[in-house]
Amino acid sequence: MAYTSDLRVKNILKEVDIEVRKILAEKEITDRLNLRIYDESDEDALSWNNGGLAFSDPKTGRDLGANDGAWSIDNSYPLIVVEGTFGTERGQFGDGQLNRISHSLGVALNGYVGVTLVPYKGQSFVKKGSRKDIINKKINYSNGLLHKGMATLALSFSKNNTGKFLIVDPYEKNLLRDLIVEATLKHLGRKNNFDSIVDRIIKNMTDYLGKSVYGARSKQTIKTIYDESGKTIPGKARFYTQNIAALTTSTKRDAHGLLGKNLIELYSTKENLYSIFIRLTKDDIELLRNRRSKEFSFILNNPKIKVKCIDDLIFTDLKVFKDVMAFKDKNLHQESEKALIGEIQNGFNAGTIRIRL
Amino acid sequence: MTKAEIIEVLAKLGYKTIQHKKFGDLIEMDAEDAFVFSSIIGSSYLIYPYGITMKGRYEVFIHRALFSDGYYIYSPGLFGRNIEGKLIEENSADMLLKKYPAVFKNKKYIYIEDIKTKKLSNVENNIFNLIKSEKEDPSNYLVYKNFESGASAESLFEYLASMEFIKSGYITENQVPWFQQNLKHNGKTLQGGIPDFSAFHCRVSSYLKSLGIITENRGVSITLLPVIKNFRVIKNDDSIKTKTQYELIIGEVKSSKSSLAAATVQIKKYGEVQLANKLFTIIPNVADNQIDFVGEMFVENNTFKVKGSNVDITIDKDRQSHDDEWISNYIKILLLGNLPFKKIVDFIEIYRKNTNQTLLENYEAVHLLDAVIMTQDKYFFEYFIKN
Repeated sequence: MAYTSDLRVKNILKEVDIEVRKILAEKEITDRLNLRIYDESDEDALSWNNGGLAFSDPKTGRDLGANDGAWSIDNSYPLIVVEGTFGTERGQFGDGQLNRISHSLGVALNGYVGVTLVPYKGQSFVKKGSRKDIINKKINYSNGLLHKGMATLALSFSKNNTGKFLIVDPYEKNLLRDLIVEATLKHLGRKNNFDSIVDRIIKNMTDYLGKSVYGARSKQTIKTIYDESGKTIPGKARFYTQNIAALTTSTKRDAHGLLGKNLIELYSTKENLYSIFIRLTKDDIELLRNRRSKEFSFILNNPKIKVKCIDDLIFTDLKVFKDVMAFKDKNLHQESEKALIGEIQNGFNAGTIRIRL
Repeated sequence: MTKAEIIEVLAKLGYKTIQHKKFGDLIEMDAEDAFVFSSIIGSSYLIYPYGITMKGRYEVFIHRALFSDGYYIYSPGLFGRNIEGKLIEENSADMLLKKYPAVFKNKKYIYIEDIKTKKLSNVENNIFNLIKSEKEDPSNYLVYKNFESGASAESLFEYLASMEFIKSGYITENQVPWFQQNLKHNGKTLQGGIPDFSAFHCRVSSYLKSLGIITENRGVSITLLPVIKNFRVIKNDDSIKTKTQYELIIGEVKSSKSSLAAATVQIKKYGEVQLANKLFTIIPNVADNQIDFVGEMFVENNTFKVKGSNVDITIDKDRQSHDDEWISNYIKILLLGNLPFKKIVDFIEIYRKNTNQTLLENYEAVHLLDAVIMTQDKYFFEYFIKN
């Protein structure tokens, strides 16, 4: 049987629920805590107030995605809302993991506790290489590591807000169990260790990140932003290389990762975020606006995200301009374009590529 | 399908219909049949108020090795791992018996609940309380949700197809490992997908026969293999072991005729890799799919019917031979679900000693796969029977 990991997640949530209820029963708490969980993802996608598991951005009203299950008080107050994935064990080594980053964030933005349940260090079986200690040469795995951008966002948001975005490893499901038990006790005004459990989860995320700084090694982040007159402007910025086909073809999921990156950077700064699409025109942006996908609805409507495209850029170096225009419709999987991407990054940082505000 | 139609279809499989004074018509099954029903359809046992399903617990491989350059693309599911990445039990026969003993005993009753469009389907809690209010044990009940939208129909037809081929001695599987990512084949790129249904014979079917797990007229759902000892006494009788030839039947399920075109595209894609001996569309109201080399499974007068195609399709015997190797190893791993975990560790250690490898304090999934794949069937089954 080959399933999506959702079923395994939902089975785990019910197993956790059984344990939670045993512990609460010992404390004579036998009602009020409800588990909201569905077999069908269609119902997960309904908004919380309509009985579902999806939350929206309170500022823009934009849907931020569905979760897999939630513990609530009296089936109304969302106590702990969980989104689970075994992506790191199913070949998601990179930005694919950001597909679901908005789901727990949506919960946290509304002031509640959103948990993403994902292995920090997954064993993803792959079809290349072989382990020297295994005799059969057709067995191998690579470690699928939790995307550090996800941990960065969860950590920075949780430190600065009432709502929490926590990442728990499903192989430490007792931590999730304890979180739910303590959250219930806290909500019911009983003696509890909720804060220390949250601290423990935050410590796990902090330890995982170590000294790494998200985006420090990226070739697409911009350290200094220049306006058309050559003045530096405050804010964070990143340029994106997706073309319109990558963002509008249903089999490609580039938009998910792109939203993830926007969210990570948006919530790690108090300033504006410039999202610069160097292969899109104003017409392309309008097309994306009219398509109303979840991802672009959020990006184009968030007041702190300033979306810019090729038509908004001023190139003082004609060669770079020509190079950018030439690669507009190329396949970026080709190695040779890496040099150009580095050149573009340098151009932004040196002020030879400027933004029309 | 309406609730009455579903009851009639299930009754025609030989299940008893019970008229309950409060709950209306129920389908009665023994514990083993109910387990298979739950593991394919996803119906929850009302062991506790939110229900527990047996579906989604036995994943071992995500893709067929044949479509991954021969590599074994494993996933935890039947077996788990701990935070350090070491192999542990997750859904073995012993573990499930310990966690959910009620699943493995007593007669079970299928409670069919119609779910109207736009109504929420988390009805388990209410039904649980209703059964309790009648002073009955909810753990003897499973809830089948009959969505008006048709959302539940596909898994029901996967189940009905399984039952039909089990009657002919096949091993059956739903949500079949295939190629979930794009596959380059004969200069074309085939988009990923998972067939809904398969029925097959493979090299180790002969051992399953000698263990009495399958007979000429009683096959088995693959979901039952990891826990079969909780339902049956497994005895070995070498005299009934017969050599079995690989055969694979693939089916694509859709809930109605309106999706015939999509089913056609998918089943043709699965056929293109020349692995399956027979192809089927499984659509309740499509008795003729208009493709001469694809058979049909459908429902007529509330009876599930199978109409095979007489047109031969091209089969790549070399590919079948590779797949036979993979699927036989897959079956062997599933059977290990029946052994106490300590015996699985012993199995890995015997293999490692025999191949002059160091014994470790703990093992990972890779070590289990290595031991199973590299141990000949004869020695594997000798060990399995002994333990």
